[in-house]
Amino acid sequence: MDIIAPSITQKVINDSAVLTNADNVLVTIPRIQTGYLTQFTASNPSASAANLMIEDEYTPDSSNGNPSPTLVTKNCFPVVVPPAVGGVNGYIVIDYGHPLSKHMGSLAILSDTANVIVSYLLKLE
Amino acid sequence: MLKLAFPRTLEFPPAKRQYEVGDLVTFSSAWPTQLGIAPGHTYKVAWREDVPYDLSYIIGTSDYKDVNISDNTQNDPTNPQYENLYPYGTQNTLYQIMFGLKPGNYMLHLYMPYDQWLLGLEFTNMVPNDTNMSNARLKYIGSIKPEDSPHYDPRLTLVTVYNMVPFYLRYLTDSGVSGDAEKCITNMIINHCQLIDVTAGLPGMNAQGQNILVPLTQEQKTRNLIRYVTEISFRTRGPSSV
Repeated sequence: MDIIAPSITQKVINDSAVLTNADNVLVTIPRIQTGYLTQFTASNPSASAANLMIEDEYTPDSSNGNPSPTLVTKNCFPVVVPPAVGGVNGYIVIDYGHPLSKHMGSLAILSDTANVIVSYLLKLE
Repeated sequence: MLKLAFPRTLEFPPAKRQYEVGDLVTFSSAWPTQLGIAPGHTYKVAWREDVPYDLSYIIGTSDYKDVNISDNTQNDPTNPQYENLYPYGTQNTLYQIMFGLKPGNYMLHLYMPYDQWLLGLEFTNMVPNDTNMSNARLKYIGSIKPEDSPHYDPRLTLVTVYNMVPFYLRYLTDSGVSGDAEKCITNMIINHCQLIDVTAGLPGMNAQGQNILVPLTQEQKTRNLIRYVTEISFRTRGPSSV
């Protein structure tokens, strides 16, 4: 019998979340993969613009030059979602033609506004 | 034991790199004893299995991490971690490990044992020692980049046997990485081979139809010759041993 191990060259995480009261959503990147955000949409019911921040959170491995690493939080890029007008939610769609940033540990999306709905497509390599 | 097939020319069909059942492999006489194989002997691969395994490290910019891939910690002065990628407790077994590197701004240096570099040049200081890891120019001496052995076509192969001297991979993150660190991911295929000693010859028949052992030809003995580190590294081989 031959055992042929599957070869997975690309995976995606496609998910959404509702952020309430300056909450954040955390997406864990698998240990042996790197994540790239390829698409991001957000809906904002608030009368003021919502400021989102997309972060990468990781703890480096212990290395020769850094024996006691601590959690690193790196701001990757901000997203501003327009305010709701006339009962219509502010809305933004971002299609990243090229991966903007490499995510190594967890992708965190933080909001300063309540009830922002975000959805995202993350390509894993 | 160590083979790095740089893509100097396009190969078609691609050169066979993994041992298959029925292949003959010979350990040179330079191999030490007590490693589960006999120096100078030829073996036939009786059984094999590909075992995938991955290593992943997040390393800060311009920093490095030494990874001991052996089964023991005896030669590891700084880091107790070891990856157990040597055969353990079984005779006549070898692992043929193929290292495929995922893209990133990092490189790999090879040491055996700890701090004893394998790939260096003759002029003073043209070696990947600890000091040169922070030298903007010399840190690239003997370095293997992801494009040299990519994960989709691994070209760096290493043969390990039981109780061999520890072998180290040093992951060095280059300067100027985007952000504060790099994720260094290595996809490995470990070709787990069980061997039969056929140094005395291969089963065959003589003209009278009797079962005999047919002596190996010189070609069969040298077809897959596995050399020891003392034969392949300039550091241990030296200029006078040609």
